[in-house]
Amino acid sequence: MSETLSLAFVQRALVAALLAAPTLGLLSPIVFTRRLAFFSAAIGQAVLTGVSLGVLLGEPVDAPWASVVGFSLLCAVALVAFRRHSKLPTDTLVGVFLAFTLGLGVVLLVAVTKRFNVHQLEAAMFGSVLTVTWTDCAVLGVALLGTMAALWRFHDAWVLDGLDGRLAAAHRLPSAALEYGLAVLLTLVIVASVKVLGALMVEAMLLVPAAAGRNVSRSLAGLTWASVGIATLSGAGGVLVSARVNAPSGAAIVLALAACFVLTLPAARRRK
Amino acid sequence: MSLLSAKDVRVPGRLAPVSLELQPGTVHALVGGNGSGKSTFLDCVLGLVPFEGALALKSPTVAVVPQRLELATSSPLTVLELFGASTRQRPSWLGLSTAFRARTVDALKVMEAETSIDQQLETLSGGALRRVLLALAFSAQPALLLLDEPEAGLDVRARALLATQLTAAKARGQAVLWVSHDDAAVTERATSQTRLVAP
Repeated sequence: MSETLSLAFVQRALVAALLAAPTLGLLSPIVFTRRLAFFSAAIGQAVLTGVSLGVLLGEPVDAPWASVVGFSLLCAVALVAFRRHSKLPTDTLVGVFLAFTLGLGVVLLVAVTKRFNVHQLEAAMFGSVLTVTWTDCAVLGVALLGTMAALWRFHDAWVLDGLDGRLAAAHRLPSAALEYGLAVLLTLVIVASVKVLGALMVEAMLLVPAAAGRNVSRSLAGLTWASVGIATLSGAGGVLVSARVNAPSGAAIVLALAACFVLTLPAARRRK
Repeated sequence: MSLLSAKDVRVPGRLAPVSLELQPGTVHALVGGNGSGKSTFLDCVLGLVPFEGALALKSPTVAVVPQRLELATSSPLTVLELFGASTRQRPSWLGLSTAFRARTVDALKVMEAETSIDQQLETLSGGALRRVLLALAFSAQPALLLLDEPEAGLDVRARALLATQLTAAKARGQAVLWVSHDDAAVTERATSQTRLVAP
């Protein structure tokens, strides 16, 4: 293990995981309680489509950030706008978006593979410890600090707004601004975490920590700390396993998360 | 000065025209059968539903007791954390102070719900949750209280506590808009009432 840890790329990936995991772990209870799991999946999908779009538009294949951020934010804001102004159920709307971004992503991906080897996009899809740079770590550090600041200011407002629209309205909470703000924050954090977790895996880090934490917690505070702990443990463990067995880091982290969920299930049964 | 003034407020297909004035220190009952638009009118007051007509909410502070919570089943939120989120002092996951806990116990006592302070909302019965929500609303001491079927699910003791709190609210100069389908429940406590008809 010490041999693995002595490798510079592993150190970078571990630092990145230790920054990304608590960030996503802090947001996970909000995603869980506001039932935004499907939304997170749609944004992860949009990130992948954004990668293909960026490469096609001439951005570097390993850093097409302008297209990724632009397309993902566009999708997130459009999703919230449709949700707020449509009478269709939220899961139906997100499903439509998922289908759209998947279809567009496949078309673009096919076009991209005519110009690049598809393996160059694997890191964006599943995460890779090999490609993480110190700049990525700095971005993740900013994402963590930004998330903590946003939660300090808006956490309880997001909770109350998600709990009941009338309670929130009586407190004169700006429901629309809160929902758009949360969507933008989630999107930026997802984009920042893609290098380590991969676009197709990042949604798991926004859902499973809270789902596993719910099994062992009896309060929102307990859920939040359990979620951060599970995310951080899985993130660090997943990166180390990934480096040892040469597997995609996102997939290894998701497997660690799944193990945490299964291990906490008996506690949930006892709680009932 | 009226805290709430509505003139011909209507929502096509959901709410027939409603006109009312709510003065400080009064309990106004909004009575009607199922589907008459009682809850829809509350949504209009809270700005959640587009409507036609004129509505002026002049109350500086408002509290509402909804019939049910929309998302309680997916959240482990405790009663104490609900009070914490409602006062928004700092994120409840960073812990709530002993002084805040003591204040919350006092607030819950008015509806004799203090033993539920550490319970998750999802584990509370309908009546117990209603007690908590009423205690939350009364503790805020708002100028205007909006109660949506507040007696539903309450036992005899809780109804008596509610009646005591309504009397106290009137004495403090608070205005209460009490939505109910039950004429008998509101007649003895309301100072005025508006009857809704199905649209």
